[in-house]
Amino acid sequence: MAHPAERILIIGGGTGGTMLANALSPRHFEVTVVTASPQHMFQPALLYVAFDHAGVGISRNEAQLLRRHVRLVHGAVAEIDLREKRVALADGQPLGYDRIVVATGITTDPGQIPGLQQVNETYGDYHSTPEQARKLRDKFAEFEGGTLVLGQSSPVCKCPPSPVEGILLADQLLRRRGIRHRTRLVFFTPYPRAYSAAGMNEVVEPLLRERNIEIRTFFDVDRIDPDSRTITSIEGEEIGYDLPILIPPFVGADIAYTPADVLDDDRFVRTDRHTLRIQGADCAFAIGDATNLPTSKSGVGAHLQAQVVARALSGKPAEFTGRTHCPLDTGDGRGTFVTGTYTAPVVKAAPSRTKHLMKKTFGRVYWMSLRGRLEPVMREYFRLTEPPEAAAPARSAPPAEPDPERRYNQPVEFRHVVAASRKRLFAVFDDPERGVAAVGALGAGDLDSTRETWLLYGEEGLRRLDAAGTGHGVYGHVVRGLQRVMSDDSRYLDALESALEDGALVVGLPIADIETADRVAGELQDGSGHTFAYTAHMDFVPTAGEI
Amino acid sequence: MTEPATTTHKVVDSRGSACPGPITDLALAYRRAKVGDVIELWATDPGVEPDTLAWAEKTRNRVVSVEHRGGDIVVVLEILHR
Repeated sequence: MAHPAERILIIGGGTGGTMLANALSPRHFEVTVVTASPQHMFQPALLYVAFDHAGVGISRNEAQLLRRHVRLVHGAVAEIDLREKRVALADGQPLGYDRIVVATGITTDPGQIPGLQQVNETYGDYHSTPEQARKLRDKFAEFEGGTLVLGQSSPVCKCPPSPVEGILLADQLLRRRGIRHRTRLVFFTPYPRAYSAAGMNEVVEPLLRERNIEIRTFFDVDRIDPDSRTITSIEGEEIGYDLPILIPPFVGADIAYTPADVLDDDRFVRTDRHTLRIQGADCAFAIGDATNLPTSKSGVGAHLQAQVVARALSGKPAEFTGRTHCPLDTGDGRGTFVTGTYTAPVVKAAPSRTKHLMKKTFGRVYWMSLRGRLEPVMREYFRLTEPPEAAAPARSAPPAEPDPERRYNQPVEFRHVVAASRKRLFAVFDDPERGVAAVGALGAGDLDSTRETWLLYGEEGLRRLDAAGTGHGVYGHVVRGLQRVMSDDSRYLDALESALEDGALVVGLPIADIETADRVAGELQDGSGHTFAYTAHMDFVPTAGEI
Repeated sequence: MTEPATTTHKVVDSRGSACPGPITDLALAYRRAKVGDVIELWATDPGVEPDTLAWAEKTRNRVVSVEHRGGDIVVVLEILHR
């Protein structure tokens, strides 16, 4: 007799809650997601709404993001009784569970700082809603020069790179508008340095100085006087402003817990940093921004924590390492990543165009990644970008930039077949040389000799893959073909692009039929001894026409 | 003790947190502190020592002691200004 499915109740339908719900097998779990808003917002897009006039595709309907077996309940949660295993919605509806996961996120709370509420209502912000981001965009557009002040008004900030991103993008836009010379840019932070984590500060601080942006450290906001346009710190220092871009303090969801002491003073849920269990409660986990974990409040954190809890619920060993991997847009088409763990300090990683492209790529694949489709690729990506563990003492010598050649010394040749479509089999190799050798070793009958084999690598490969479709000539041919192949679902294109940016080799093999594709994929696999998700990614679409 | 009864001695445990975890915890504790309070910050990240010394100088608060106990660093701060 089959066991009855265990009832998993997930409170919150943001990045963490949605990913976790989709990662749980319907064979073992009866999954319910409770969310206050029917819309799911891609929060990092708010930065670009405010500073880049983007605005399309920020939100989607949560119901469409969840797999079919997940039950979705709309409603605000009023009470969570962890002792009685009972949840009450604001309208009184009760919900029971066997195990619960709190993924309620955090919201801005400008009321904590005197004067901030008024400033926030007037000037908007880029950490709460699209409406607020548009308000900020409009105020920024009206700005004709003077003092622009940007900073976080409390020590806890959702997306720690976002303050620096904001000031750098503001600088870029002001230069573009030709009014940078009559603008004083002031960046303040409650931390001892421009970027809170020391390793990344070695990148950020010189960048701010180069752009002539004033840095005010240890500036922890106490109050704002909108009449005199002055921000005052706890220590009594003042900064005057013409345009204030202030990131409000954040607070956890307004839910009454039993026992009440699972919440800390900021209403963050006290969570075991490794197991992600709610402290002092049985059968309860917390993930994402809602937690008090000493790591970045970020989408990538919620993503990784959701995977850890999915494993834990399934009875597999699972531990969260505190891993962060937050993209940081440095403006002018460049970017970097803030990468660390609880024990590996944030590494110094120089900005590059490729990393900026990766940030954009992550934005494009976000909706797919919620469904879990990209998980094999993402897992591999996170593994390859794992920061080096610090030798004790942890921070005395920040590690140098990771050696780009490092992965080639490792015996990881074959990652996985990413896609096979329109009689073409795509494979990704971490080691380009091995990839070329593996393709060369294929039998003459394996490939369709009337069509070319695509070997895509590095910048050249990215240009040929060109997601924007701006390529022409022979490259344009490739691009158009790829886009046609993937027009129904761009996940393959994004995954291939991400792999190229990661330094991998992408091969596109012309194959006549599904049987040959099976055999060739098997040969590539045998050559390295690695397994790969072949059938899961196989989408072989026979077609009469040539690409 | 000579401390007035209304002051508190708050222990902040930031052990196991990498930079900027301890300084974040200190800044949060400071927001809730008042003059005369003592904040005892426990950390394992060696950056905590220079960071808290700089913080105390900037905020005009007093570092009572910095102790290394095994792998832990314990910084005791007295709040003089708030």
